Amino acid sequence: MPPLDILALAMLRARNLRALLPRAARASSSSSSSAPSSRYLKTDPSDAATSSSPALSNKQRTELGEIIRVDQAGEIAANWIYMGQMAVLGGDRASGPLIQEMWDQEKKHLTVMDRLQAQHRVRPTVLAPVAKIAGFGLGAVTALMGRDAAMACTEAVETVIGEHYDDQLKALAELPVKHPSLSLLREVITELRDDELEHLDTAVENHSQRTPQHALLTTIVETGCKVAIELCKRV
Amino acid sequence: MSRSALLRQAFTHVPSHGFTRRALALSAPEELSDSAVTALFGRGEEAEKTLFQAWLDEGRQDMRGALSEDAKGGEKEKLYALLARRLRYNEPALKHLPDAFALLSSPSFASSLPIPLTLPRFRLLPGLKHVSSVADEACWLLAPSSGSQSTTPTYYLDRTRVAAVYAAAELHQLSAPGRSERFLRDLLEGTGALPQVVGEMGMFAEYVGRSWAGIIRSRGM
Repeated sequence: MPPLDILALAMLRARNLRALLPRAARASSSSSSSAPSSRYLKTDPSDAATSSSPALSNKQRTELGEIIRVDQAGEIAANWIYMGQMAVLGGDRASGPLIQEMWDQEKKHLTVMDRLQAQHRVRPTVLAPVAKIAGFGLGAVTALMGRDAAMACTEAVETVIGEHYDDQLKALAELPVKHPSLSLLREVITELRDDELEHLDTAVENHSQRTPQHALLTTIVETGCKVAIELCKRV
Repeated sequence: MSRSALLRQAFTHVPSHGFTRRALALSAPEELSDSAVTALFGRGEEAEKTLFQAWLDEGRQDMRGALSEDAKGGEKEKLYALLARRLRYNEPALKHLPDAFALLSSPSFASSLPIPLTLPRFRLLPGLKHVSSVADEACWLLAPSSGSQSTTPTYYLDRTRVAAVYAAAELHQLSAPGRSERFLRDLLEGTGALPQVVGEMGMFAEYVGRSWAGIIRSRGM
């Protein structure tokens, strides 16, 4: 191979490693026991914040239910998107481990969401099977389009999810009721939002914006995500 | 006395007076006047509906007692215990229940003026709402408290089955109270195989899906 290609490959690998390194430091902080989501992963029945639900008016109960229902549907879809991407790109040396790591984080998020759903007795969305199939399809199709397209899909989904979590945090801040479970919910959503934005950074660092028709792909995926969010809130 | 305390006191008068304004009037230590009942609970039939709804809510809260008594027993036993307890809660007021359910379905005027400003809304599904809320309560009480498994896969299927069983059992109880528990047990056993059947349908669908995936892959697409 000509020396310039060898140099280019070495730089690419170095950039990938650099992309992995700071995330390794961040990952250890989010999996440490001080993270709010770890209280849901530990299942301590004496913890009032993870085992009781506040007394809310009907309207507030509906709002809380919508928030948790949409978040759970989003985590199901994200899990299956990564599953679809891994099905195609799993063997790829550059992006396979990246996608696997992001997928593992999403699995933890889904466990937390399931426990939140059970704690607050929220009805899950009827569209859960649709979310699974659509997510798998989206992940597989964008992965078939190429590694960069898969990263572009991740970038679009994580952008919408990050903004959505932000809106939910604002809505929760306006809730007048004070209860340990609600403040824990806000901390958990903040942590999840930060994780999703971290995935967004990863996707951008890994050349998601190099995709041809990047703008078109991200617009389609973002619009699809917004429609799905509105549907899952109601159904 | 607070409004909820008065309602709870009114429950003790329901077996003798039914779900009527009279039962509400007797709830306070000194009998409430009709205008006081109207002010607290609503005009005309609204007050009676409020009383009935509160009685139904109390019935759902009461279901929790079934689990603490019967600590042993598998899922089926616990479900039977929960639904049987709810049916037993009906017994004191059984003869007033058909009228009360009819009352729930009757239209109500929401405006505060005595003139109807909008057409009366016929509530077609109040009985279904009651049955589904009992089923919801039963399923949440049965769900594992630690939340180690996800509740999503069989959420709607469980609730549909329990709601149908409870609806049939309650209707049977309204006509033949003596045999209601036996009927409930028969229904639960009869529909017990339902989740397994749906699971097997899912497995078959997955099998068909995999064959199609194999065909598409072999066509080289």
